[in-house]
Amino acid sequence: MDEKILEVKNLRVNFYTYRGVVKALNGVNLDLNKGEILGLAGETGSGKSVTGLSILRLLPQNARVVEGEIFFKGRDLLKISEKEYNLIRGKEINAIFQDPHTYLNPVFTIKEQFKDILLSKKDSLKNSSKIDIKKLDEIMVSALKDVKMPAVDRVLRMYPHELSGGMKQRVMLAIAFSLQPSLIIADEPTTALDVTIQAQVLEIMKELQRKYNTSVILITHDLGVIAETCQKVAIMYAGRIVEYGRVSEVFRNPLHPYTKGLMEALPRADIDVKVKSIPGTVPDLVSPPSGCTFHPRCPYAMEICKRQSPRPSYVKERMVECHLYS
Amino acid sequence: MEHDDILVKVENLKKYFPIYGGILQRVVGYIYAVEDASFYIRKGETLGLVGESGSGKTTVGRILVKLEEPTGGKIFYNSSDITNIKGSELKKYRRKAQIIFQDPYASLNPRMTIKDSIIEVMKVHRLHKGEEYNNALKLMEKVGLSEEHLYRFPHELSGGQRQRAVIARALAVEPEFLILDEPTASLDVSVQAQVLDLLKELQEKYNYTYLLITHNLAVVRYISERTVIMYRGMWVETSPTKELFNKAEHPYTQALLKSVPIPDPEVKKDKFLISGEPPNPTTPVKGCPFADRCPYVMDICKNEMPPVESIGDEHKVRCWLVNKK
Ligand SMILES: Nc1ncnc2c1ncn2[C@@H]1O[C@H](COP(=O)(O)OP(=O)(O)OP(=O)(O)O)[C@@H](O)[C@H]1O
Ligand SMILES: Nc1ncnc2c1ncn2[C@@H]1O[C@H](COP(=O)(O)OP(=O)(O)O)[C@@H](O)[C@H]1O
Ligand code: SF4
Ligand code: SF4
Ligand SMILES: [Mg+2]
Ligand SMILES: [Mg+2]
Repeated sequence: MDEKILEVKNLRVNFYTYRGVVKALNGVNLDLNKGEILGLAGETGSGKSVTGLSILRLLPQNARVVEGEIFFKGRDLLKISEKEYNLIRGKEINAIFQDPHTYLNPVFTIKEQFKDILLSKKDSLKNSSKIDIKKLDEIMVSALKDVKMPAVDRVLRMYPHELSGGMKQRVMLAIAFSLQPSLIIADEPTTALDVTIQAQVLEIMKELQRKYNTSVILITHDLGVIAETCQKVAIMYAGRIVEYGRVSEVFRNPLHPYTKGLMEALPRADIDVKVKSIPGTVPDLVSPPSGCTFHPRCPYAMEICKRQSPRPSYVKERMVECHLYS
Repeated sequence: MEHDDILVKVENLKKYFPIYGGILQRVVGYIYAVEDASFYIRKGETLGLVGESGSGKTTVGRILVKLEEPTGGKIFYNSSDITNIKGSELKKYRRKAQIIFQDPYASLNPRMTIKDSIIEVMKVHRLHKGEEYNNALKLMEKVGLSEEHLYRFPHELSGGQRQRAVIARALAVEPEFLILDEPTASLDVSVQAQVLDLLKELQEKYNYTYLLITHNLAVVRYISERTVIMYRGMWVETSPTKELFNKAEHPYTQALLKSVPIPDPEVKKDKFLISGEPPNPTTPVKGCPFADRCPYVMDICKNEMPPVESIGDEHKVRCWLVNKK
């Protein structure tokens, strides 16, 4: 039996802005099993990062969770106090972002920062059998060796700007995996890297994920990265997950018209294809279209699509939100 | 053949940027941004210029539109040497060669409507006198926008529409040669396809010549007839695109092709991971620029520049391995 580690239920998040209320997430449902990598894909503004930030409870000031639950190992993360969450964040759930600069402080060495991060988790590690927090140096060195960092001792003494983009992202991986969390949220971790370096970083991430049996939500707009890294994939559109299933199934036979459109719009490096664009643009989430939010761009749109938003349908293990399947 | 119909040709282009340091701000070294770029483009053709970030692609593009002076090398346009042209000749060339950058925000004035941006460039080049508005309207149709978009500011357009507006403005001066620097890198895939198809369609209709600068190999495969691969400021392989994807000979090209993630879980690639990262180009290249990452490196590679080997019709490689074969 698969062990469910995360379950997001009907999550709705709004941003309150001068333009009005941005309905960023409109009922997101998601689950993740232990040791699985889930790819979260979709175009800019579809809600990938907001989903990740909600789980991490790092939403900006002007955002509100207006509805929904996020169960992590059976507890609703939205119901616990900040103090309780602090025992989880970093230790049980960790994050990697696209730009390491938002996380690494330029005026401290890697060692100073890594140490501080570990020390701040002291309380959550009091009863850990796996990690002895007193052996700080050992933890840091082994974490950096885990990510195949050359010259670990030298790197520890360096400042972030002295490291190349790929090396910085390895440091982020080392920090994220150092306390062997159960869940890692990686938001576009390799988007800023060149392909040969992206390949190195993804390889290391997969290796560590297998080694520690970590569950990972990999946020990316690159379907190629998902095909090569993930077991499951969720396709987001306008704040909802419109299709969810096994990577092998969804890529071979996409069901949702938006997923189909995305796949057909991709030029490929390995074979010659004729690409087809999706007409129109992503909707404004202050006043989203009625019914199915994809209907203005959908080649299969029917009368009902304008009036009624589709409910999730299940086709074997696959979830799809589209009137064609209900 | 190489000599038919060539519009643009560059030979051994170099660009070194001085690094200033100390209290006197003297030159303390150089960034060897471009060490050797050599290629030609036929009229109506698309040449892909591919390489990782920092490999010198944008610098080559900027030299080609004369935003930057080369440190060495020659540029030919329609067979005449334009490396050192000045005055009215330069002005004429600047109209024929236009560059489109990755970030459409950077190329449009945020305080001007699209209409004003387009009419401004027409006025600078004294084109379409009295007919500016009508021509702007025609350009909008050309790039798949409508009249209402003329009255919008850049921030009131979506990413794809904005890039179309940038293309419209570049076309306003009736260029022949377009340098497209990562034209779709800031766009979502569904919109990227729109822009790529627009570029293809415009080329078919009006015979524009493109230099497509990108790090996206899938995009190159989709729209360029021939491709040049650069590494650390130096071209290492050039070939018709089809042949390059089927039988790349340079170890760096092979590594690039095997590193691109393929959006099909059923495709099993044999992994060919290379370690390391491209170095900062603050020392001149000695020997092969790829030597410190190449899994096949030999002694000779570190000390002597590999010679150019021709291995097929218009397929050339610079690698000692190929030379030894
Ligand atoms: N701080 C904020 N204030 C107002 N709106 C916001 C804020 N952050 C995000 N949003 C809005 O929430 C929606 C979802 O944004 P999100 O960042 O999750 O997109 P994304 O899928 O991660 O996109 P990308 O691929 O560009 O990273 C968008 O409409 C966005 O404009
Ligand atoms: N104006 C400049 N001054 C100093 N260095 C520059 C300048 N422009 C580019 N460079 C450097 O030259 C190298 C090549 O840059 P660029 O042509 O932008 O590469 P690419 O477009 O392939 O990413 C990089 O190391 C870059 O930092
Ligand atoms: S519900 Fe209707 S409009 Fe929406 S994706 Fe399905 S067919 Fe298209
Ligand atoms: S010349 Fe040598 S180092 Fe350079 S690519 Fe060829 S084998 Fe590798
Ligand atoms: Mg995001
Ligand atoms: Mg560039």
